[in-house]
Amino acid sequence: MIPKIKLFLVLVLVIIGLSLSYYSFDYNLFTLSSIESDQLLKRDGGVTVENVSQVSGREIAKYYINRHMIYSLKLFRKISYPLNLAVYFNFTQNNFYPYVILPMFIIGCLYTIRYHLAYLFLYIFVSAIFTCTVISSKTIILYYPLILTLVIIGLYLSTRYVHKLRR
Amino acid sequence: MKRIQVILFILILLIAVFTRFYRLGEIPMGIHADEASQGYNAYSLLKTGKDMYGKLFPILFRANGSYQPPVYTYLTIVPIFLFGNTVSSVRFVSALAGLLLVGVTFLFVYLFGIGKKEDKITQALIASVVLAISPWSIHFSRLAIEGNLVVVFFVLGLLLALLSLKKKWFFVFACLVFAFTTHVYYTERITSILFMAVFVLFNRKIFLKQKKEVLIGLVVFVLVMIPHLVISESGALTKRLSEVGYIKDINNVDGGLINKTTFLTGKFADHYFSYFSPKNLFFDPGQDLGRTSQDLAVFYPWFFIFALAGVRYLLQYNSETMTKLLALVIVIGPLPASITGDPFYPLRVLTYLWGITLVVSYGFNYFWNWFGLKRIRMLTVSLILFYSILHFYISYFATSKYASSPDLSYSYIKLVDELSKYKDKKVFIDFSGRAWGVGIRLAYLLKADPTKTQDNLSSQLGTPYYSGDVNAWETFRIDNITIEPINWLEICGGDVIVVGDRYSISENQIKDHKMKLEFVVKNAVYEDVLFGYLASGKCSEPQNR
Repeated sequence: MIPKIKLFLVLVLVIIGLSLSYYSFDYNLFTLSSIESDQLLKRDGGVTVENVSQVSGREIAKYYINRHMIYSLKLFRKISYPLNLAVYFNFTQNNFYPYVILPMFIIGCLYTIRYHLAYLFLYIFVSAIFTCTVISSKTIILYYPLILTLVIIGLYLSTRYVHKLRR
Repeated sequence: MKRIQVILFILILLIAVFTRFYRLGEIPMGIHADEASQGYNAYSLLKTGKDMYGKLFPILFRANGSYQPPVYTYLTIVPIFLFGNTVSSVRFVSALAGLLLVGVTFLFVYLFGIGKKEDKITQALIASVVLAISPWSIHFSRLAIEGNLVVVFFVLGLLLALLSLKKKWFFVFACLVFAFTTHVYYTERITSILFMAVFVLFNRKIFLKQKKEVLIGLVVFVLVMIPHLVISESGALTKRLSEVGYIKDINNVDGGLINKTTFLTGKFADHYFSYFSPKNLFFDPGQDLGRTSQDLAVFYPWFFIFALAGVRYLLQYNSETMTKLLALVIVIGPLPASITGDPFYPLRVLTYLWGITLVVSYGFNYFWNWFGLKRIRMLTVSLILFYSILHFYISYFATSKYASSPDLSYSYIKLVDELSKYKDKKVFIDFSGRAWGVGIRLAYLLKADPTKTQDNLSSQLGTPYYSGDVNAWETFRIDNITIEPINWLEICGGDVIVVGDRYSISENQIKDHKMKLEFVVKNAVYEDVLFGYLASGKCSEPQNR
């Protein structure tokens, strides 16, 4: 039963990923405007690409900032956007999942980490690839099937535990 | 331990020494107002036995419109005595605490790790190396932060608490250390007390058999807490919480009790769970420069994989003391920070981050056991660790140091050199919201006479020393230098130096007061930020700002 669910989930993920890549492709994936790079680097108005490169005077720092840091920042910001609990569960905003099911999600999550870690890695890896190609606001859709499954697992395990206690 | 293991441990300690002490006074560039007040209070205590307001052995140090827990300041007396009033002196205690934490963590995992003795040594080595290179631990060890100092005391408390399960007298020392942590940092008033209560509750069967030690431990705990009780009515004890907490916002919530309760519960839950978000922990550097470096979250992004593997490993051994203890630290750790207004603020959850670091280290351990071939696993782990150190070095030591310079007012350190040229003139330095803490920074760096500062500041107290109402706008006078919002009428006397940023002095004021540009101070990225003008002669049309 479980291998079938796993296969089904991956299939759903791939279908969603391909559809999103087709309809919501991120055309700015490999381009970085000067405003965007300043936004990424100039936290609290501190530093810009230009002045850090100018001051550090070291080739390694210049190379690191211009070729590595801003792109890795952009990439990690994209990949991590859907890996934020607040996007799915939040009291102060109306989100996809109500807060009351968060405990179920946590139980499901711990169970999956304990018994199906490799599969979880696979799901996150495939999602991360699609996340890169899809515009940020849509990337959370990729995780909806997983979260829903984890909530169901959590719900199932809790009810089973309650039944056990009753007996 | 085998010789190779001893060598590895020494190597790890050397990495920790390097990452915490290398150019400690220069990176991060500048000095924070809170660092300066800790340094100056320590200097004042060293010279006069009193703090900068003339208070004898304060329970909390009044500074910058708020209060600072006392232990860090008292400990800073030693490095200031040894090395003088430098930036590195004030950060020394924190850096040393960061180094000690690596050692204490090794000992902790070595004694209470999972499995056989040989496995425990491997786990202890991995835990200490992961901690030694973790961005959060390095960054906060390089700033004078009480939150970093408290982690080492907390872990020591954990160690003693666990030892008390075998040797009962350790319980008294555990109580002593946990009570002491409440004087080291604010958050521990919740974390330590809650941890101790839950720990005793979970192990009640053992502790019921040793009532005498438990009773003595509790007496010691209460005795150490007495200073808090002494000032509990003054408002000083909860001053910081009233500044950063959101409980006061409840008055702005419309509706009845249900709305207010929903507001508080929602806010608390949102903030609490933000500490469990992989985005915040592993990927997002955030907007606040206080987190770590320019492009790193509190952990490296690739540590996310190890964190998941670590949870897997610990769940596998869920009946082990280590698993239970880490679960407790991780659940309790973010509670105090969740009642403050900032959604994710690593500085307030360093004990929790220590717990996450151990989970990550168990993830490394999981892969270590998973790999069959010794050489391959050694090579893989070494490569990951080496890449992490390299990444951090370039990110933190080569580039991000500039990012923190405006926040830490690096330009005021440079200003000290300029001011030495004008000892024969009156100097006025503008104190505004843009130059927060400039007075205390200069008082520390210029070694202002503590006796004179005590006279000056005590006259500006306005309220009792311990109070919920603290004056943050104090004028500092250091020999010929006055630091206050510019009073243009005073400047009309002539032959004075006026220093301010680009918004302090307008073109008209330069003309009115016949001022001539004397010097310009640049910041770390060579931007002109501070301007010193010589105002000579009478004013044509004096204006008061």
